[in-house]
Amino acid sequence: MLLLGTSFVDAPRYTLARVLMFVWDFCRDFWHELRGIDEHARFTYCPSVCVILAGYNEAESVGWSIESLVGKYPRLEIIVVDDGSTDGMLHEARPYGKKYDNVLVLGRPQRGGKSSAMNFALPYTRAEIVITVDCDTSLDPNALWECVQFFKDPKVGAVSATVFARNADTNLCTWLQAYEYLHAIFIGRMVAERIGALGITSGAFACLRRSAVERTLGWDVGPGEDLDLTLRIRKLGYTVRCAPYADCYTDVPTEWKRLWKQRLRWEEASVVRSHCRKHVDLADPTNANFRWNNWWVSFELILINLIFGYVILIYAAWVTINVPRNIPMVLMTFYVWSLVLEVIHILSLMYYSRDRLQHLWICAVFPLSPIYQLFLIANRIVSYTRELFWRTSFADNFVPKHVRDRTWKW
Amino acid sequence: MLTLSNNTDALPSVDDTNHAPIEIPDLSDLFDQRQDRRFHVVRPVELIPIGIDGLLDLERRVIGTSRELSVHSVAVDIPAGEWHSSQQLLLGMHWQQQVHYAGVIVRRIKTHERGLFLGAEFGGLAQELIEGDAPLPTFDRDELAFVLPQSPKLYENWSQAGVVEKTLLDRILVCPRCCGVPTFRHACRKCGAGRVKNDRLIHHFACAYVGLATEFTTETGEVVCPKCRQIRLVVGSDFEYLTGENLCGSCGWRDSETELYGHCLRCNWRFEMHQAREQELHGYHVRRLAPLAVITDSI
Repeated sequence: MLLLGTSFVDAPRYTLARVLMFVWDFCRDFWHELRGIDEHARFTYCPSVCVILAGYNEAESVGWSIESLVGKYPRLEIIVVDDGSTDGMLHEARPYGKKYDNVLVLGRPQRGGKSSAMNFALPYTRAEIVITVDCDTSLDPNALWECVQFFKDPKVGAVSATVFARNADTNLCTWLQAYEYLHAIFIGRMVAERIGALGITSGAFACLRRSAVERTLGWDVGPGEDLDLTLRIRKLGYTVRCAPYADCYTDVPTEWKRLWKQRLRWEEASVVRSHCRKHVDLADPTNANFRWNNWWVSFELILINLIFGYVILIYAAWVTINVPRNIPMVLMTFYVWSLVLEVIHILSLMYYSRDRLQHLWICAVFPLSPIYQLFLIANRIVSYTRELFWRTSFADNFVPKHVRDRTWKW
Repeated sequence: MLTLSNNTDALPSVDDTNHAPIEIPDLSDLFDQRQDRRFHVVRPVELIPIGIDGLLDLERRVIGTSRELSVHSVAVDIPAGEWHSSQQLLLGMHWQQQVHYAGVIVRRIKTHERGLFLGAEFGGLAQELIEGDAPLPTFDRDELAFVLPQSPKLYENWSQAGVVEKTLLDRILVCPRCCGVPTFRHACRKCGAGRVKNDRLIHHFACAYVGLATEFTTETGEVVCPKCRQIRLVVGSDFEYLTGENLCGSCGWRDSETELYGHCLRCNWRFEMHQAREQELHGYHVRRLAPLAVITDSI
């Protein structure tokens, strides 16, 4: 029954928006082709960029992470922050600080959390653009160029890059996540940007205007600090753009249990903690800084993810109790309906993809996608319930205890 | 074992004709000038010739037996054929299960049926090296390094012979180039300059804000977070201090941490701490022979 609700409410919403976007872009590109207008990206804007690599116990990956960034952009500085690691991360990173003039290695004696680690790096740079990259994330050669082009517009405060799963071929769990990332991040954020509802930049690879970050006085205590900062940047009046071809790759969880925990953390920090509590003023028309596009960001998430999530649960329970005989038929009907929508998703994806063969291979897992969506919805409902009643995000060990004990409980 | 004798007649008889002739300087006049009382002290002794550079000639070490001992002189019997004609000697006498040393100058040599009889006076180069304070390394203001009273080679030689006891006093870091004494400072990691300015930062736990400590301090001296406006912050509980950016006044390099650099006072060489040479400072202890104590103990 959950599947029924998902297919009925959530999937068509995205499908419709995607189809409209696809039709619009196809017509535009066709028109440009006829008129001979070359609209391919030109890297004409080159602001100074500072990449912040903040990590805790990332001794194994910090070296190649620095090496993968050096030389990819002319006006680049890299700040590595060791957040009180115990595995010798600082020791591993130090030689790179001596090897490269544009690499600065900072260390903290005690772990303080990712947010404060990034805030610690902020005063060290005067670059126009600040980019946060996770230590286990690798960037495409042109990723930095792709991102910074949007900042030519002074109204742009943040740019969301595209995160792909690096280990898609490990097992079914990672394969499904890779498929999800393709739709939710690569295409999903393009759609969100078109409808003015893009309110997140992934912490794994987020591009931010430094002046905007300084106006917000930096990151707040996590988890969900990337979402929180993006919303605060939006509140300042900046727009958030999506750079679909600024690709980065990260390892996704390989076990279902770890994936469940990761999503619990993400979801706990997003809708209830950020949109319903801390940034509830986004939906308040009496607020002096009220904007309809900000309201739309919150409204969409609260309505679709939170309210509809519980509605689906109640509806599923009602159907199970009252008409249990129809369950197999209804399930099958909506499974087939979901597959039809998935095929439309894949077709639109292929239009935008630059690596069609690879993406087509990832999309081969689509028959299992409705079941995977069921898993994610169940996860959302559990996490929202935990956060609503017990504020479990404030007990997450993503943040060290001495910090989470003192932080503001929204 | 001890008998008191007031004159040289008490010495063992010597028969020159029974032994191979040895070229001996005639020092009898000097020997006869002894005025102090001599005691019959029989103890094992060893005699080591000493060169003009103070080095001991261990290959020509001779084992013998003391016959008489006074405050200023000693008489020794040594086996025939082992004597190599040296005037400056280091004498080691076994006493209280240890060997005690004194420098001697040979004044008289006579042969007898069992070997040679040596009459010697305390003094000479070896005695000069032994007397006085124990040899310790001291800081030389001219050399700007730690030096010993004599050449280190000499003390090593004496130590190998077992005459002096080598003791580790200290382990210091010196210039890798010239072994001069350096000064150390927290310096710029890039150029080694000590002109490094540093700011103190505060990390407020509640809102993760990190800023200059001066930003947090109000005119009344209260600590207030400039981001979330929380007041009455307590260090350790609400915030922590962090070491801020180090800015080098010489090369403009910025870094979160400084590095210990040495600057040699003697040759002006600047080097990183891990390049410094570790130097061991040794003192040398020698058991000096105190004739009066030996005599007193033997009575």
